[in-house]
Amino acid sequence: MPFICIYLSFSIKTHAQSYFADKLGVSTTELNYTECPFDKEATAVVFVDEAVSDYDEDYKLITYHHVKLKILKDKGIAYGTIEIPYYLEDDFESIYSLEGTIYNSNDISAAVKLDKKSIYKQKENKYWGSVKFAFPGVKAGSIIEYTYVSSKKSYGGLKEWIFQRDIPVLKSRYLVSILPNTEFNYVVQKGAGIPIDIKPYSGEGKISFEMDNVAGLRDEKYIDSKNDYFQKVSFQLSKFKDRNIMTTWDQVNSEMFMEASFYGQLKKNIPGTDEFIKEIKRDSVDLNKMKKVYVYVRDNMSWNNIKSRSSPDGIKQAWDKKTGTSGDINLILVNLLREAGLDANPMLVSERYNGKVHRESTMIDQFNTVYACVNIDNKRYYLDATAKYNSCMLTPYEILNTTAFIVSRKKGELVDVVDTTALYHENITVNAIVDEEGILNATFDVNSYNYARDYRLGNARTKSVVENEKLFAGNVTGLNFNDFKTENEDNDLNQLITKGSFSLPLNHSNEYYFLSANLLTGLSDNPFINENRFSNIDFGYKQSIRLTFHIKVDKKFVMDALPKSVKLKNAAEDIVFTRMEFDDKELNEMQFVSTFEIKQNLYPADQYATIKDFYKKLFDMLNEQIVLKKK
Amino acid sequence: MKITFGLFILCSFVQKTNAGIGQIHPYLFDTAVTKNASVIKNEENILLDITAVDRFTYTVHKVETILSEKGKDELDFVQYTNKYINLDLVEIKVVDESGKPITKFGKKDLTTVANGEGLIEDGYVSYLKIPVPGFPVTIVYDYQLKFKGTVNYPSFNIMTSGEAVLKSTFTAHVLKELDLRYKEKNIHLNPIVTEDGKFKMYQWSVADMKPLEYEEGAAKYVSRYPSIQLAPNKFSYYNHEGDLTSWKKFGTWIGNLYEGLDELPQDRKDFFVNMVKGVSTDREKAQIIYKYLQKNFRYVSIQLGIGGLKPFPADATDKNKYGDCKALSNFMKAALKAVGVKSCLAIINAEYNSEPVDPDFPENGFNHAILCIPQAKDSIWLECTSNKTDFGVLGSFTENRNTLLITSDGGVLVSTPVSNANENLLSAHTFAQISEDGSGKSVTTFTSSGAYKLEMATNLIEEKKDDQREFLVRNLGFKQPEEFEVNKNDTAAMLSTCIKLSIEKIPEFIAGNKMFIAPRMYKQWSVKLPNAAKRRLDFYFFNPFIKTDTTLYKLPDNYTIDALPSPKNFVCNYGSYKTNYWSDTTKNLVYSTATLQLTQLKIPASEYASVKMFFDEVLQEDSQRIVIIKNDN
Repeated sequence: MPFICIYLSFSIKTHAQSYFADKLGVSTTELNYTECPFDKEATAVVFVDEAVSDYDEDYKLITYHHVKLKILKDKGIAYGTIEIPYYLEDDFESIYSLEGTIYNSNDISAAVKLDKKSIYKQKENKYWGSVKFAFPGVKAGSIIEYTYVSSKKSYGGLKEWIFQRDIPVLKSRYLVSILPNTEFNYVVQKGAGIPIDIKPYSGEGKISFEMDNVAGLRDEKYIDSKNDYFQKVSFQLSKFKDRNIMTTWDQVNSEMFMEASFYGQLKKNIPGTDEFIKEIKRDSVDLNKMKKVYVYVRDNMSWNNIKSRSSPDGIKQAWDKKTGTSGDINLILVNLLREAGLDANPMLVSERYNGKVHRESTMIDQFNTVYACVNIDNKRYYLDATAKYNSCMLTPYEILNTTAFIVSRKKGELVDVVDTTALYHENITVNAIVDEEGILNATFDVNSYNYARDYRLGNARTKSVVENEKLFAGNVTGLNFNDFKTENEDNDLNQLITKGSFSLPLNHSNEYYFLSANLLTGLSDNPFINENRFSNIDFGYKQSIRLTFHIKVDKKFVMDALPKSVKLKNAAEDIVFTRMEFDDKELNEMQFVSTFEIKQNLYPADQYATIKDFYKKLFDMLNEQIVLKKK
Repeated sequence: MKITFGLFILCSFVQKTNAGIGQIHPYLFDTAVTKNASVIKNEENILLDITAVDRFTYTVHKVETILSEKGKDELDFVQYTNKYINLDLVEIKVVDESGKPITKFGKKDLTTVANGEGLIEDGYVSYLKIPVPGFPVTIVYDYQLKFKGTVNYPSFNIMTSGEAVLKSTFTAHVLKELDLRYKEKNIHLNPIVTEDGKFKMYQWSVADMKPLEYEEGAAKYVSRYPSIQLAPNKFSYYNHEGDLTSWKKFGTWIGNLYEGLDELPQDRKDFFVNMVKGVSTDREKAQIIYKYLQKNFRYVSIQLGIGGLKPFPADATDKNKYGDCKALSNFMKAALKAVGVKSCLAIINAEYNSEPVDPDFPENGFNHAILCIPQAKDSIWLECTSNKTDFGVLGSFTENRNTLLITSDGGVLVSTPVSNANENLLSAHTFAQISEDGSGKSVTTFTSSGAYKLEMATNLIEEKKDDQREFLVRNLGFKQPEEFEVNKNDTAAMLSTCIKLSIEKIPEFIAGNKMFIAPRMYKQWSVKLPNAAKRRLDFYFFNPFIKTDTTLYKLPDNYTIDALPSPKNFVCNYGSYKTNYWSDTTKNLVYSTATLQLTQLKIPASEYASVKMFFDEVLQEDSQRIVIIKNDN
């Protein structure tokens, strides 16, 4: 929904307080406030978090901030120490007029002003600085209030307002004035049922957004991105004078196509690659060409841990240094893929941790980096040369179940990166003998396919053998590997094989000996033990783990009790655990074939109760033991 | 190990720097020296050039081959800087097998960020993740740091784990009038000492050193590997000159930084005097004021002031009600002074696995401050940054160490208390009632002190419900409860935590007509110690402890005992473990008791294998099961 500014100009306000909806100072209600009604465990609560953005005669973006919060419990005392980040490169942003007050008792006259000497500015890195201060005498019951002004060089700094924090916010309000002759788009992201009050002041060129009683946001396992759950409003310039800017995806494509640091980089000649390209062109199979170029770029470039959507300094410089941002490296990749004669384009992506892309919004800030997209025989391959252990035949895990935008000379395209075949697939075989002392000696091999291969290969390359052994052993104590090695590391067409041998003295009580039927599967700890969940469970890929466990037991033992054959499934039958038990009491041998399958890659939060129930039962079953009795 | 000595020290350094690197093929070798290495240090020349009391330069030329991804940490070039340490020159070259540079990096390629996790830090880290085309790869480093503060000299760190050293030389070139002191760590290596006019030169050289294995649970990095530690005799830091030839003199210098900062305004002095009115002993007075400190002040790390060595004045800390370790300790000292109790600030190297500083080698190896109230017998030690630590108990963070007391007569190096198992108690009493379907309810009361009290208070009692559940299941090892309740009862020295659980299945598993029940509802010990083979370094536990447990199971009516685990009683030189099991058949009750004790935090390498065996056996015993069987009728 576009927000149009027709108001031409107004003078800069010098007194911010007149803007704030909430008066400075504390009320009796706030002084007596002891518990957040919608989060009784909250350690602190924000009474008000408001800001007013305006422009001055130089069209700088001036924002007046006002924050007031109360510490409710000792654990919340840390909220009395504040850090305000600001973007300092090229002096883009500055923070000033910081004032604060702390109320440590109901006697308002005893309030203490923040000492200016205890406010520090620190340069964190080339891009970011922080203003830092700690309020004095913070304890449970303290109310702290502070105001400050942020000045940014331009309205390019108008990005988003987040209504939510990790503690509850009772009132969050943002009022913004828009520059003359400009038009901004905004997008509100909010949970269903949480009201937002949006008030345009059309005659004044302003708009305000307000949300009340916003619950705190916490981390959860298998959450795709916290960004997807923040209550927030985002802004993007959509019109300057009479020119529309990225208001449609076609315009986004045109802008990115014209952008020198993006599509412009694909026309550059990368020095020293001519021989390589010549060599590649001799190969007639496009898929081989793609793999070779991918490996060439991946192995020649080192990622500097910075994500970017473009290459501001140019890919030539990055190639020369053999290091660069994700934008540098993947634009080099696209460049060389095209040089090799492949149909390759750069693709803007929002990796899982960065949050979902809203198709209805054309905001470029939704994307955090760029990948390569290659078309071969009507099949698309998505490549990221910053990832060292991924097979280029697999869609990178980081963009599974996301939306991306392919920038192309012809026409840009918004695509859902959904790979219904994406699978974490592992087959485990264990052959074991339990000797007369009750010690299990086993050989094993683990065949890891697809995403399991990527995961295991990354571990094999970067972690020590001892660390890898620990990962395989999980929570089975006493398991000692005698031999441990990996095979097929360099051939990503085949599975990675981890093989070796181990011994495991069986736990025992008197004549009873116990052995888990769940070895080497990685299914050690139940990830879903919390009572409630607010976020979707995004596994990324489907999973299939199969363990074939054959045991021959010394004649001095008899089988007393064995885990039974079972099949456990959820109501939708898309999470399934099966265990088949076979035994031959005469030969004193048994075999368990266990499979665990997750047939969906994503489960909505409202299915959490059933998932939690399933996992509880699953781990009860996995904990069942083989019981042997000594004769 | 072969040790070589060079004669033409400075010439040799310059020559190496300019000689080029055309002869690098070390990774083609698989020699006795390089076997099992992930990194080979082919050549290293370090020059420490101390030209004045307030400045020195540190120049490094190093050629290293990283053989595989396992050595990739060496590709992180990291240097710490502040306004007194300047990274002057940097040239890093990635070279091919013939020594020809593939890529080259300079100072402008480094990323610089603020250092540390405190609110305010007085320093930066400049780093580069060196991009390489693959492995093996050879890197040539040339860089120089200029220091304008001399309280610490860089040490000669000869090697780290997985690193083979073909040749390395460290030269210290120092004004005779200043000279320096050195100390060997984990190596016997004498320097060649020569003189050149106004300068004295020390040179240490090593060659053909095989890689050492990484050992889990060992002392901090500085104590793990062979090195030569260096220290100044005279130094200058932020324009404050000092003398480090004795602990006494260094303590005097530190004391001067604190001079006059331990004064409170009269009204605040009166406040504290009033607070301890009617109290006679120093201990009681200190206890009251310490409680006030813990209740009203908080730790905020602000590393400013003479490189993080000088605290804020006590009255500023008093007004702010926050501060770092120096500020809080200094405030506590001032408050005690107000009531006539004499105390001394003490600086120390913190962390449970830090080794004590060497009494015979004065150096500035400290990173923390505590407070000592000297007593004729059993001085009182206070950790002023914690809101939960018991009065007079430091904990393993600073116990077992040497600390420098800052007295009016200068520094005095003394020992902090030895960690005591009796100060880290975890005692549990459980009653659990099991129903016929295996479900049940239990009540466990933990009584804890020391490290366990802190853990229970911080990670359980003060947490939100979901985090409490996580802690119960993942840290304490309880089964996933359907419902639970956590309550506390804080007494003077011990924290009592009552945990009520409702559990769907109390037995570990049910098979046929039998239930297999763990001896306890939680894990008394769950850590598998690292392998013991060829242990070279001492092993550090977090703290010594005594853990006791009594668990009482009420069995379902129609079940009887099929098998009880056998009682065990075994010991090692540093611990003991004793269990017992019995039943009361008339009431259908099973009793299980266990006492696990570790008497010492640090285990000598030579005895580690037996301690590992002991704890493996504890794990094994903890996995025993009480077997009960359903009656036929």
